[in-house]
Amino acid sequence: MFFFNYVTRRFALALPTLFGVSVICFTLTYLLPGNPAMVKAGPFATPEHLAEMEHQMGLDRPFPEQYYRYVSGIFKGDLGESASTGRPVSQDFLQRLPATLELNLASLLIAIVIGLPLGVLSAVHRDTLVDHIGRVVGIMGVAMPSFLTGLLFVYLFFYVLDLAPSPLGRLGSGIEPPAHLTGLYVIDSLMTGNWTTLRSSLHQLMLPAATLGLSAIAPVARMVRSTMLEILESDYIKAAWAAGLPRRTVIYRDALRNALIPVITISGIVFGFLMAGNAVVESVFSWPGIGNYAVTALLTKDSAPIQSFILFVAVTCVMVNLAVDIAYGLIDPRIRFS
Amino acid sequence: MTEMLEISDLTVHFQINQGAIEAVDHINLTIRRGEILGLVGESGSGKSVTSFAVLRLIRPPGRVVSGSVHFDGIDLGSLPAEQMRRMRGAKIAMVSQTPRTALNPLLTVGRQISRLLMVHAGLSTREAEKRMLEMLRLVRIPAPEKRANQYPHQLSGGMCQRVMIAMALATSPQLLLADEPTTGLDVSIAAKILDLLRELSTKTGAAIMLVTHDLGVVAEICDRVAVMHAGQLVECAPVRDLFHNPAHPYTKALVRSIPRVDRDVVLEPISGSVPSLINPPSGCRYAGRCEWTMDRCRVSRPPMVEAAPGHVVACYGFEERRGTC
Repeated sequence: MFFFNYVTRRFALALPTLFGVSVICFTLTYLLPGNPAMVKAGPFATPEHLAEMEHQMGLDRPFPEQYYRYVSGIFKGDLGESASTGRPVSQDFLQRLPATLELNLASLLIAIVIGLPLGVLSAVHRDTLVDHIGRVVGIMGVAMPSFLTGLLFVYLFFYVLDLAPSPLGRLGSGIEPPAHLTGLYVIDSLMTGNWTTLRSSLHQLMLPAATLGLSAIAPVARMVRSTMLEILESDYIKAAWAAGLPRRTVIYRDALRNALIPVITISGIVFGFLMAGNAVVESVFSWPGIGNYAVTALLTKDSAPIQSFILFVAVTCVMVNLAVDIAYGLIDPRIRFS
Repeated sequence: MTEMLEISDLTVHFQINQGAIEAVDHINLTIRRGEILGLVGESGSGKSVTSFAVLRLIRPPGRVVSGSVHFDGIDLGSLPAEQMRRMRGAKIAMVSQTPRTALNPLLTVGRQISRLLMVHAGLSTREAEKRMLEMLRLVRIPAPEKRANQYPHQLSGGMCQRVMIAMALATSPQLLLADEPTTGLDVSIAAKILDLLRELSTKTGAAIMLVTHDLGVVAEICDRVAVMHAGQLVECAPVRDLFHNPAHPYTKALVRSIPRVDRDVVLEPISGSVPSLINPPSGCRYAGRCEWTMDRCRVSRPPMVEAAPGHVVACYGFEERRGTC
């Protein structure tokens, strides 16, 4: 019951944030130079034709009315139309979203699976060789721009070593996509037992996910390290040592579980950060996700997809934060019962 | 062999950039079975460090430079790590000075007690739960079944301290290191906790080393008192003897600084403060604050001499005056 109230409260708090996001997102595109009517009408339109087009698109209305039409459109699932594909943006998005989700989740998984133990080891063996190696790996991951790591990976693993497939999309050539359940190929092919597709999709996913994940290892590892260091000095860990609990229990049960709260926070932040960072990686690997779509739109000055991409990233961040808050409650009784 | 714990010549240093902090300096101390020993001194006098050293839990930058700790005739210093770990909590338990923060916030208090029983006594989950409830009853926690399922933040400070004591005594240790167990509790609760400790010690025969800066607490429950100043042991005596005939000027000053309701006395604070323990002078560390200071106090450290049976003191000034009065 406490917990239900807590979740409801968190939900209510997310609403004003979403409202703010929609205002900022709309204002930004409103203020952008360039006239969407001109793009749509083409370079040879007469002034009359242009005015007619502006009226049709509602661009001659006052700002609040335009905003109202934009928001009510969103509620009806109308995100506008892409000038380059000629299709509704919402359709394009839905089609490409699973690809992006698959890539981002895989990257987050890599970042946590490597970052978490690295952080724990660095904290437990503070100022030893392990700690220094962890630090160097982390800094390198952050300092290298993703497009460069991506290209290096492609060069090394595809061109030189021939361990990875060509960086073109989500499946090898001639492989049929699995039956559509979630849209995530790895999960769908697992669920339908389609091993050939599973193999191929994992193979294709490997390099882009590693590229994107590498940039996120450091924030996770650093956060785990500093939290663990703090917790290992805490009274209850000292008491746990004094009570003769085995080392494994003290470090991996007592300390690590307490350290998970900040780790979940950073995972949420990292996920938002991956959402923005994936545009570059998707371009390098021709990954058919929304990041790639937004980059293409940006290059052709196609405003509706850009606007939608910004809104989508912002909404994702809000949602992830909401999920993080709920996860806190699940882990920490102090929040659950307050 | 009646000594349960024998600390000989213990020295602990903490290495920092400016040099070594000599937190504990050549301490000799014994505790007998069933005895309650008070270890008294101002903050920073090395009391807590001594109890952590007994558990072999001094971690870098801290280091045990010399000395040994024998428990029940076993040299703890030479014990393999795993056997030492089995000693902690099972034979020698600790009650911390910060009950609220010394409990893991993410585990129910019942679970924190019962898992110790599973680790040290090898009990099954069921047996451990049963014994855990017995322990909670023993430390007089009302509605133990309900409390056992609560988290530390849902309990009051006094309640948390009871849980800590239940936790420490669950495995029937022979020695309890109680580090300021009543700090931060209000007076009536503190008195109850002390009664509880005394009673449990009589019941289970456990010896207690009570670390405190509060002489009132000492007067209430201790059999014997050891006084520490700036990492050095200055006096050790049966509790009555210490209060009636303190021999060391520092102890005299401590006794004078206890507020009294029955007599109208002016409280005298002890002049000066604990000297820096970074590369301290070689002589008596109280010399800078002492009214009896002589030249040799600053040069060499006074040895422990017997003032009365069972009452030892380390002070040149005392030796000098003994003949005259």
